[in-house]
Amino acid sequence: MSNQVSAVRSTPVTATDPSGNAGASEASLLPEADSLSGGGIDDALDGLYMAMAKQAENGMQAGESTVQVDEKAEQKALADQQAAVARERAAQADQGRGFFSSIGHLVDDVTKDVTHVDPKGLVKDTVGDVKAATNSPAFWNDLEKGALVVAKVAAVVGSTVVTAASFGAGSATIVGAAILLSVGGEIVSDTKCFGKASDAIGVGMQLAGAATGLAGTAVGALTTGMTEASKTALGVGVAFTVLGGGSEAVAGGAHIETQGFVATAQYAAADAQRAMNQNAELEQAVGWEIDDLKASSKTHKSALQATQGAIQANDQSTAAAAASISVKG
Amino acid sequence: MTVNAAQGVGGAVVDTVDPTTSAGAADAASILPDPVTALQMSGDPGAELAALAVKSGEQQETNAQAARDAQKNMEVSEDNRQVAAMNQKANDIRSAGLWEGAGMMAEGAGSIASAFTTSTKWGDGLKGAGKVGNGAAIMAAAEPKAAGANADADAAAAKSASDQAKSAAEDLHDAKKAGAEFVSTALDFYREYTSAQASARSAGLHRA
Repeated sequence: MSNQVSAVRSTPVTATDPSGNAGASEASLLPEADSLSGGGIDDALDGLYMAMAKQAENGMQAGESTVQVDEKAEQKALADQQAAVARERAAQADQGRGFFSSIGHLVDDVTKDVTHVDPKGLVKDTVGDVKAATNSPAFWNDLEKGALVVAKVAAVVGSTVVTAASFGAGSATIVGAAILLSVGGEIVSDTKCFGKASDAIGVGMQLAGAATGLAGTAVGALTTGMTEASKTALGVGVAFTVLGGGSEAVAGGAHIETQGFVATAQYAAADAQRAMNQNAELEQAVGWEIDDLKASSKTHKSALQATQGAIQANDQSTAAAAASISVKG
Repeated sequence: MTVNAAQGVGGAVVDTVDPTTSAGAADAASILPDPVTALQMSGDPGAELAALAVKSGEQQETNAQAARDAQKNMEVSEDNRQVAAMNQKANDIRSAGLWEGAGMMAEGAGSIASAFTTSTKWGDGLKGAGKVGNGAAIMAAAEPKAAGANADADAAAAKSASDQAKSAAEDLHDAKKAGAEFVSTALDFYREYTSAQASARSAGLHRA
């Protein structure tokens, strides 16, 4: 301990003053050569005590400011997380106006604007409603589902009608039954109206429809050539086929949009996770920082008490030695 | 020890100086002996014991902190890997959606085209081409879909690794706290020891 004390006392001031001409004024600050006993030790221990106290204070201040910075970053991470969760929610398939709601809203606005003869409002509302619809995940989700159902039904009806028309009117009743079965099968599969058995029932109905269609074709093949009614039916069948193809293409476009929203929700979920991780990391860092500060404070307190004890012990020894000398004297 | 001391008329004024910012401080550091080392070599068994205990506690603290920081870095790295995997999954979803949508559009276009041809062969051919296109697109979409599933697994693995690193870091933090506690205890012991020693010395002088 005495070596340390000596060093603290004898540290030259020039260590922090590089000007070089302060030597004369430093001389008065230097300890006496024989000062490492009695009061000299006390002075050095006082210096050490103050140095340690100052160091503890500085450490505490640095720690507090670190905690404050971390807490601010934590608040920001929390806000980021909330924003990302909101973005994720907004990109879910059930968010926004659905297909029919969007169309209804547009028709409502257009009707109001036309009734009030408001061309500016008409343009503004139309653009706004179309934008809102295209930005609505529910709109694209409904469009995809609806277009797929239309595509399936139209494809079945179209091809069955075309087949029946090609083979004449004789098979019309059978073909009608085939259409009903096939379309019914599609609807059962899509709506799941029979619960878990819906898929099996739907497939069964479609197979029955196909078999019935083949029977109609066979009956048609036995009858006479194409009549006028058959030609009209052929045109209707072609129109259904075009409708089915167009609906499928629309469903494809809507699927791209829908999956785009799913991807957006996933990006937002990743952002939310990042913010959540940052928040947890900062919370951990703050907890550790506080624990470290407490531990450091306790260590400093113990060190200060040890120094204080050394000062008191030195005082006691000096006093006792002086008393002993005077008694002996 | 990087304490740079200057004693004024009214007492000592001492500041702690960061050695990286001051050359003077570095000089001072070379002059000042490490107090713990000084205690260790004082010849006093109590002081030596206290110094050893302090050094041991400090060493435990230093080691635990280094290991804790390493685990913390690993935790952050795994957290980042988890987020990267989630972003990758989003890319895969978008990519698969594009392929699937394009396939559906191709099949729809095939159906429309087939309706405008009078030849049954051409009609069937166009429909078939559309279906083939859709099938190819579905196959192409299968790759990003599988990658998306892999990304999910990666994210889960990264999350698990991050949790493990976090748990290990917490344990090491506890070890660091124990090291600091040990240093405090050693210092308390030294205080008691010097106090007892002074009392004994004082009593001895009185007896003399």
